[in-house]
Amino acid sequence: MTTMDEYNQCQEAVRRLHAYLSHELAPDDEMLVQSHLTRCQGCLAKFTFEEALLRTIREKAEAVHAPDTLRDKILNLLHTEES
Amino acid sequence: VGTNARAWLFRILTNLFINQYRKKVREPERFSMEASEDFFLYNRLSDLAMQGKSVAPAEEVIRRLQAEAIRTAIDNLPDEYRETVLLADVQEFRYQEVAEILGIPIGTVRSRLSRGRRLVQKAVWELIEETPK
Repeated sequence: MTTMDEYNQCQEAVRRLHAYLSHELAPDDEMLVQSHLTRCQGCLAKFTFEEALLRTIREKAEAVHAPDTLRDKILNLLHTEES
Repeated sequence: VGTNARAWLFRILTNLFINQYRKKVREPERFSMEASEDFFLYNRLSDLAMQGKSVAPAEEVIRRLQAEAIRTAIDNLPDEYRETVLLADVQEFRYQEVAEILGIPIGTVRSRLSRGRRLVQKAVWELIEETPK
Protein backbone atom coordinates (compact mmCIF):
# COMPACT_ATOMS: atom_id res chain seq x y z
CA MET A 1 0.00 0.00 0.00
CA THR A 2 1.36 3.43 -0.90
CA THR A 3 1.63 6.28 1.55
CA MET A 4 -0.86 8.24 -0.53
CA ASP A 5 -3.43 5.46 -0.13
CA GLU A 6 -2.95 5.48 3.60
CA TYR A 7 -3.33 9.23 3.70
CA ASN A 8 -6.53 9.05 1.69
CA GLN A 9 -7.94 6.36 3.94
CA CYS A 10 -7.25 8.49 7.01
CA GLN A 11 -8.91 11.44 5.30
CA GLU A 12 -11.95 9.39 4.41
CA ALA A 13 -12.27 8.22 8.01
CA VAL A 14 -11.76 11.69 9.49
CA ARG A 15 -14.31 13.15 7.08
CA ARG A 16 -16.85 10.85 8.75
CA LEU A 17 -15.71 11.55 12.33
CA HIS A 18 -18.64 13.60 13.57
CA ALA A 19 -21.35 11.43 12.05
CA TYR A 20 -19.49 8.37 13.35
CA LEU A 21 -19.45 9.78 16.88
CA SER A 22 -23.18 10.44 16.63
CA HIS A 23 -23.92 6.97 15.20
CA GLU A 24 -25.41 8.67 12.17
CA LEU A 25 -23.42 6.89 9.47
CA ALA A 26 -24.99 4.51 6.98
CA PRO A 27 -23.91 0.90 7.71
CA ASP A 28 -21.46 0.86 4.78
CA ASP A 29 -19.78 4.05 5.93
CA GLU A 30 -19.67 2.88 9.51
CA MET A 31 -17.94 -0.31 8.39
CA LEU A 32 -15.47 1.69 6.33
CA VAL A 33 -14.49 3.72 9.40
CA GLN A 34 -14.35 0.72 11.72
CA SER A 35 -12.21 -1.29 9.36
CA HIS A 36 -9.83 1.67 8.95
CA LEU A 37 -9.56 1.97 12.74
CA THR A 38 -8.45 -1.66 13.02
CA ARG A 39 -5.61 -0.90 10.61
CA CYS A 40 -4.53 2.60 11.67
CA GLN A 41 -3.19 3.17 15.18
CA GLY A 42 -3.05 6.94 14.68
CA CYS A 43 -6.72 7.28 13.80
CA LEU A 44 -7.72 4.73 16.43
CA ALA A 45 -6.06 6.81 19.16
CA LYS A 46 -7.76 9.98 17.95
CA PHE A 47 -11.20 8.47 17.49
CA THR A 48 -10.99 6.76 20.88
CA PHE A 49 -10.10 10.08 22.46
CA GLU A 50 -13.04 11.83 20.77
CA GLU A 51 -15.40 9.13 22.02
CA ALA A 52 -14.08 9.44 25.57
CA LEU A 53 -14.42 13.22 25.48
CA LEU A 54 -17.96 13.03 24.19
CA ARG A 55 -18.89 10.52 26.89
CA THR A 56 -17.42 12.78 29.57
CA ILE A 57 -19.28 15.81 28.22
CA ARG A 58 -22.52 13.82 28.15
CA GLU A 59 -22.14 12.61 31.73
CA LYS A 60 -21.03 15.88 33.23
CA ALA A 61 -23.18 18.32 31.29
CA GLU A 62 -26.33 16.28 31.85
CA ALA A 63 -27.05 17.97 35.16
CA VAL A 64 -26.98 21.50 33.81
CA HIS A 65 -28.83 21.32 30.65
CA ALA A 66 -32.47 21.29 31.67
CA PRO A 67 -34.34 22.13 34.82
CA ASP A 68 -35.14 18.70 36.29
CA THR A 69 -38.68 19.48 37.32
CA LEU A 70 -39.65 20.63 33.87
CA ARG A 71 -37.83 17.77 32.26
CA ASP A 72 -39.59 15.24 34.51
CA LYS A 73 -42.96 16.73 33.71
CA ILE A 74 -42.37 16.42 30.01
CA LEU A 75 -41.00 12.91 30.30
CA ASN A 76 -44.04 11.90 32.38
CA LEU A 77 -46.26 13.38 29.74
CA LEU A 78 -44.51 11.32 27.09
CA HIS A 79 -44.84 8.14 29.13
CA THR A 80 -48.52 8.80 29.77
CA GLU A 81 -49.08 9.28 26.09
CA GLU A 82 -47.26 6.03 25.33
CA SER A 83 -49.25 3.84 27.69
CA VAL B 1 -44.83 8.86 20.59
CA GLY B 2 -43.75 9.84 17.12
CA THR B 3 -40.65 11.81 16.39
CA ASN B 4 -42.64 14.96 15.72
CA ALA B 5 -44.44 15.14 19.05
CA ARG B 6 -41.27 14.39 20.96
CA ALA B 7 -39.28 16.89 18.95
CA TRP B 8 -41.96 19.52 19.36
CA LEU B 9 -42.09 19.15 23.12
CA PHE B 10 -38.36 19.43 23.32
CA ARG B 11 -38.44 22.51 21.17
CA ILE B 12 -40.52 24.17 23.87
CA LEU B 13 -38.15 22.91 26.51
CA THR B 14 -35.15 24.08 24.52
CA ASN B 15 -36.55 27.55 24.14
CA LEU B 16 -37.18 27.67 27.87
CA PHE B 17 -33.67 26.87 28.85
CA ILE B 18 -32.07 28.81 26.04
CA ASN B 19 -33.89 31.88 27.29
CA GLN B 20 -32.64 31.09 30.74
CA TYR B 21 -29.10 30.95 29.40
CA ARG B 22 -29.53 34.20 27.53
CA LYS B 23 -30.33 35.95 30.79
CA LYS B 24 -26.82 35.27 31.95
CA VAL B 25 -24.40 37.99 31.10
CA ARG B 26 -21.73 36.51 28.93
CA GLU B 27 -18.54 38.12 27.85
CA PRO B 28 -18.86 38.70 24.13
CA GLU B 29 -16.52 36.61 21.96
CA ARG B 30 -14.72 35.08 24.86
CA PHE B 31 -12.67 33.05 22.48
CA SER B 32 -11.74 33.34 18.86
CA MET B 33 -14.09 31.64 16.44
CA GLU B 34 -11.20 29.97 14.67
CA ALA B 35 -11.50 26.31 15.35
CA SER B 36 -10.98 24.65 12.05
CA GLU B 37 -8.78 21.87 13.36
CA ASP B 38 -10.14 18.40 13.95
CA PHE B 39 -8.69 16.69 17.05
CA PHE B 40 -7.75 20.10 18.45
CA LEU B 41 -7.72 18.98 22.06
CA TYR B 42 -6.09 15.63 21.35
CA ASN B 43 -3.31 17.40 19.46
CA ARG B 44 -2.73 19.97 22.23
CA LEU B 45 -2.65 17.28 24.93
CA SER B 46 -0.30 15.16 22.83
CA ASP B 47 2.00 18.18 22.46
CA LEU B 48 2.02 18.57 26.26
CA ALA B 49 2.88 14.91 26.74
CA MET B 50 5.68 15.18 24.15
CA GLN B 51 7.15 18.15 25.98
CA GLY B 52 7.03 16.15 29.18
CA LYS B 53 4.66 18.66 30.77
CA SER B 54 1.92 16.18 31.39
CA VAL B 55 2.32 12.78 32.94
CA ALA B 56 -1.30 11.82 32.40
CA PRO B 57 -2.41 10.36 29.08
CA ALA B 58 -4.96 12.42 27.18
CA GLU B 59 -7.87 10.19 28.25
CA GLU B 60 -6.94 10.64 31.89
CA VAL B 61 -6.90 14.42 31.54
CA ILE B 62 -10.39 14.22 30.07
CA ARG B 63 -11.65 11.94 32.80
CA ARG B 64 -10.46 14.42 35.41
CA LEU B 65 -12.27 17.34 33.82
CA GLN B 66 -14.66 18.86 36.29
CA ALA B 67 -18.34 19.19 35.46
CA GLU B 68 -17.92 22.91 36.07
CA ALA B 69 -15.31 23.21 33.32
CA ILE B 70 -17.55 21.40 30.85
CA ARG B 71 -20.53 23.56 31.78
CA THR B 72 -18.46 26.71 31.34
CA ALA B 73 -17.21 25.52 27.96
CA ILE B 74 -20.77 24.84 26.77
CA ASP B 75 -22.24 27.94 28.39
CA ASN B 76 -19.84 30.18 26.51
CA LEU B 77 -20.70 28.80 23.08
CA PRO B 78 -22.67 31.08 20.79
CA ASP B 79 -26.38 30.14 21.04
CA GLU B 80 -26.69 28.25 17.75
CA TYR B 81 -23.76 25.98 18.60
CA ARG B 82 -24.77 25.55 22.23
CA GLU B 83 -28.28 24.38 21.44
CA THR B 84 -27.02 21.95 18.79
CA VAL B 85 -24.34 20.49 21.07
CA LEU B 86 -26.79 20.16 23.96
CA LEU B 87 -29.42 18.39 21.89
CA ALA B 88 -27.14 16.13 19.85
CA ASP B 89 -24.32 15.38 22.28
CA VAL B 90 -25.88 15.73 25.72
CA GLN B 91 -29.48 14.69 25.01
CA GLU B 92 -28.48 12.31 22.21
CA PHE B 93 -31.19 13.28 19.79
CA ARG B 94 -30.88 12.03 16.21
CA TYR B 95 -29.79 14.66 13.69
CA GLN B 96 -33.28 14.56 12.17
CA GLU B 97 -34.82 15.29 15.57
CA VAL B 98 -32.40 18.13 16.26
CA ALA B 99 -33.32 19.58 12.87
CA GLU B 100 -37.02 19.43 13.76
CA ILE B 101 -36.54 20.86 17.24
CA LEU B 102 -34.47 23.79 16.01
CA GLY B 103 -36.31 24.23 12.72
CA ILE B 104 -33.13 24.04 10.64
CA PRO B 105 -32.03 21.76 7.77
CA ILE B 106 -30.20 18.56 8.72
CA GLY B 107 -27.09 19.81 6.87
CA THR B 108 -27.01 22.78 9.22
CA VAL B 109 -27.20 20.41 12.19
CA ARG B 110 -24.14 18.61 10.86
CA SER B 111 -22.12 21.75 10.27
CA ARG B 112 -23.09 23.36 13.58
CA LEU B 113 -22.29 20.20 15.47
CA SER B 114 -18.85 19.76 13.97
CA ARG B 115 -18.05 23.40 14.59
CA GLY B 116 -19.68 23.35 18.02
CA ARG B 117 -17.62 20.34 19.06
CA ARG B 118 -14.44 22.06 17.95
CA LEU B 119 -15.37 25.18 19.90
CA VAL B 120 -16.04 23.09 23.01
CA GLN B 121 -12.60 21.52 22.66
CA LYS B 122 -11.01 24.92 22.29
CA ALA B 123 -12.81 26.25 25.38
CA VAL B 124 -11.90 23.15 27.40
CA TRP B 125 -8.28 23.59 26.35
CA GLU B 126 -8.31 27.21 27.49
CA LEU B 127 -9.66 26.12 30.87
CA ILE B 128 -6.98 23.43 31.18
CA GLU B 129 -4.31 26.02 30.36
CA GLU B 130 -5.69 28.44 32.96
CA THR B 131 -5.65 25.80 35.67
CA PRO B 132 -2.61 26.21 37.92
CA LYS B 133 -0.34 23.19 37.58
